[in-house]
Amino acid sequence: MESALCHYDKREYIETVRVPWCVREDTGNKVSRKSVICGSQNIVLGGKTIIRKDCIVRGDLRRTGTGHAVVVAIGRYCFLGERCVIRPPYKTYKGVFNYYPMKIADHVVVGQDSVVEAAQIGSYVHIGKNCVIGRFAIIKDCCRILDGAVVPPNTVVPSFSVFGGNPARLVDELPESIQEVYETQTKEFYYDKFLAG
Amino acid sequence: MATTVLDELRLPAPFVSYQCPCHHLDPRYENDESGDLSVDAVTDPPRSADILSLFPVARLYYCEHCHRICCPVCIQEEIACYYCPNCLFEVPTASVKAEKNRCGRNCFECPVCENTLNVVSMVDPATPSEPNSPTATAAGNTHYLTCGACRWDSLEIGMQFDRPTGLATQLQPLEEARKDVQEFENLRQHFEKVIKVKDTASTGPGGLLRGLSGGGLNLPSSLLATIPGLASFASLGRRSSTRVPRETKLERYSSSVEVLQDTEADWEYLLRSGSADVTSLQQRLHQPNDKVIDKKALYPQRIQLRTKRLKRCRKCEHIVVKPEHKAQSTRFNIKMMAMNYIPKITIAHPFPQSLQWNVASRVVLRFTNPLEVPVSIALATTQSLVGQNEGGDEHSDMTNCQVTLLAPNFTIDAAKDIWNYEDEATSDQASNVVGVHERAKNFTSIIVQVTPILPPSSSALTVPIQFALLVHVRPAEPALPALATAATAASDVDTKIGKRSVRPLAFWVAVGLGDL
Repeated sequence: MESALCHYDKREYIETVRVPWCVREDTGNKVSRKSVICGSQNIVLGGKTIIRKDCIVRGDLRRTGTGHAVVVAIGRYCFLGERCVIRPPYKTYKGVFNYYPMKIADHVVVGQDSVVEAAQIGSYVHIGKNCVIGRFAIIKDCCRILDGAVVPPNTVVPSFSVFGGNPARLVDELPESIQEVYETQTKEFYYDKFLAG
Repeated sequence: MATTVLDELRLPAPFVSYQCPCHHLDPRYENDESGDLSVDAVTDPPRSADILSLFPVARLYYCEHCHRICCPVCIQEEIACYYCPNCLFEVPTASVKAEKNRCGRNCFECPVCENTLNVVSMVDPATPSEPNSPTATAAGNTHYLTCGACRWDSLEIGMQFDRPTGLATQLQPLEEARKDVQEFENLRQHFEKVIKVKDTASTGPGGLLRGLSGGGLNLPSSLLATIPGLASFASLGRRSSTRVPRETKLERYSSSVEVLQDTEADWEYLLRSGSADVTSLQQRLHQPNDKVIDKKALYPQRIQLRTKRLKRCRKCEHIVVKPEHKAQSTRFNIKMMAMNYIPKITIAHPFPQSLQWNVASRVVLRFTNPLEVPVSIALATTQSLVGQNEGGDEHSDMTNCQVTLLAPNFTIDAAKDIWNYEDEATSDQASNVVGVHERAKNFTSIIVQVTPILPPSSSALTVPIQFALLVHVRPAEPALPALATAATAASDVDTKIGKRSVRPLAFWVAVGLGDL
């Protein structure tokens, strides 16, 4: 079954290269005006990324001391669902409280109402609805987090795994074709399913 | 953990699943050396009991050698490499057995919730008060394991470490002193002797008993050994001759460790203390050596290794999937997925608004061609075939709606690089054909009329609406389109036919439209 068409109000979304916080020349990002983007100078969007309404991306939670730093790096064809929260992970190391940068690679889908505090999310990752991805979790390439999963802090999710439950554990393995499946899904959604008007 | 078809096949949501031909235990098909799946080979539509032989197209493989679809059930797996899912270090095959299939580094699993444990120190290694004094911290500091999910820590069972690294080696003497581990070790040694005597070590890397007919083994082993292909059979023959006399020499195994039995006191303790301090079934099964009842006896276990597996077609033993050797790599040296060979069928937009009993609704099915050559599709339903839906066999058939195919025969254009589609506006004219909803790029979507028919004797509240379709795929005749395009298509065929040629193929798909 193909995903349903998704119509959006053109006035609600800021589009393409003139997005002020887009450092690279990649274009086609669509960011809802109703989302909360904090510290936009510290956020990099790779292009063709959609941030839906009521999303919160905390680029302001950055490492103390240093000057300009990328806090949240999001790759191409990433979709952040409605009301999800992207927040860099923090810890107290050697007695100093600090935030650490978060990297999200390409073709990553974050479902609605999910909270992500991972250190790293690889390419071709689908995170379901209502998930909590704990601090410093590392999700490798080609993974799927089922709806409602709670990935505890510091968990490593290896490639081709399906994690689900609370606390999230390995429930299944993904087939070898999953990279192409997710790639076509995200591309199809961006070009054919996410329509203005 | 092999291939449970989890989320995609917990059905009710709309789905299109393909049936693997392997579930037909038809000798005709097995002996079909030509590999041509003729219509006869796949006449049975999927039945409601066949739900486990139905797979989404992403899970299927395609064997290029015998030109057939393979499902996760009918492939043969070989372990290519072992790695720890937490530290992602590859473990050499030689040390896997010695380390009992578990990570020999720093990775432990919470005994309570199975989450990975973190190593933490009692004293922060470099608190601002005493910077750069490694001697002081190394001496006085202890480390322990803690769970980030359930807050269990190893101090609860008095487990702590002097160094934060190499925890598995630090724990090794403790582990080897355990009674259950000793008993297991003794048993293993005993049975190794048994195996040596019987000499029935599994053959071949796959360990699968191949279809050996008894007749071939009656030949003398010396003769078999001289024939290269049959050398393995020779050893088999020898085995059967030497087994009998040696078997008698085996002594009985006597346990060196006393096995603790449940006593009255244990039960009393259980009843008294209630369930708070008692382990759950999951936890007990997770520590299978000694199925402990008291929660205090749970101890962290090293994390079990995961594997990367090589997959072969079971029929011709050609490799279908071969992952790269490195543990962290997600690439494959060989990857033959059915997705790249057979048309992908999806339920496309516009979706039917709502299904109603005995009311026809339109469903659009989209067929996407992954091949560089155009293919033609012929569809059939269970109704259009004779001998279905009759008599008492009704329940076994999974189709529960009347399906009318408006366009049973159509073609799909070849897949091309994305920029070659731009200058092609000609494809729209084909949409005038009756029953074809849209035809563009490398897909054709067709209209199917579906009328759900209420089964007369159903007590269930909701019934999944589903129907079966027989799909024939054939290379398209190049005469159909206009001359110019035909010429280019023909040249395409010439250049690419060596790579992925279209073989006629027939398979059943089950289309589910959700519950009603």
